[in-house]
Amino acid sequence: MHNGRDTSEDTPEVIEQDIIDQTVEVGSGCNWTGSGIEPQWDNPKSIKAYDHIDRHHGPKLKPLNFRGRAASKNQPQGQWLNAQDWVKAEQVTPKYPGCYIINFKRSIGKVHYPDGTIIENVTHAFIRRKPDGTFKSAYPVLNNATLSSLNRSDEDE
Amino acid sequence: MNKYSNFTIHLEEPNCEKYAEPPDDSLGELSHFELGLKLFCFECDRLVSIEIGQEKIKVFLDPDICMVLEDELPKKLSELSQGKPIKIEFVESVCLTLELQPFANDRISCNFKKFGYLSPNEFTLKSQNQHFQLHKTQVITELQEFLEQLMQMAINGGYITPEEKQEFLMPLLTIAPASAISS
Repeated sequence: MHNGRDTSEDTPEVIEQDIIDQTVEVGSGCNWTGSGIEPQWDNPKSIKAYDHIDRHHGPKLKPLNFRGRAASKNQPQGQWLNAQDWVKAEQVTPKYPGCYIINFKRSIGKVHYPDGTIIENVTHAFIRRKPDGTFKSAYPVLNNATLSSLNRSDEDE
Repeated sequence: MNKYSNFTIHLEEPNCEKYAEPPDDSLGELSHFELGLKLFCFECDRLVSIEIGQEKIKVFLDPDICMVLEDELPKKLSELSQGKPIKIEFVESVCLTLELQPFANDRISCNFKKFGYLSPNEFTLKSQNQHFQLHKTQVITELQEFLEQLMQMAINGGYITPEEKQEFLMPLLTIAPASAISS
């Protein structure tokens, strides 16, 4: 853990991907092909690039919001700790439309379960990049790697 | 015996719980229609029930259906009617992709792909697939009527204008009589 700062060994890594179209690169630094003006990629408040992420998985939401959503959907809900991390995610996610799971190799968020259980220090995020490069959704998720890493750190403590 | 599975989508009761922050376009990036659609789905949030054969899923206007609308559902329906495959994707309340592939004789093959938390502690992109055979006209009609209902509610609430609705639903003109779009 490096207090949220990236070092070379912390460089985020794609661990699963389902690329939909590899013919054109989209996203920050690429030609804007979407409608209207290009989004402000570097600004986590960009509603065009990151709307649903900020509103449904942002750091300002309260545990009660997530517990309600998790219960009504009967599915765990991820919450980012820091809005800048979804900007970072946009930068490190391959520039092709598709679904990705990114390992940030540091804590980026938590996951709320329907019964109120909260798993902290989550290191992975699910990303869905749209054909215009903006993010349809992005949120911290659990996987076996996360859990085994958490178990190890628990034992270390 | 009917060889097709039924496809239905309809609004259910309002969702009075607010699980999210309201849409905020302080950077001025969205058009009136784009922001209006988001505000409508947020402020008039409801459960939406989708049934495909024996499979029943519940999603919400905000964010699930809002995302489907933002993915240009009318354009996709037009493509489907022209025999092109389309995908309808949910990545929030459920992680599910409906891959619809039209075939001859008004038939659609539907691949119902679930991914995400297939087990409680692991989110994966690997999917569990189920296959259904749907009736193309029935699917398109059901989705058209659902779209029409949503757009009319958004107009009635003052979120979008009749002209914006007409432009958004324009692709439906290629698959249905002009009566499919009424402002």
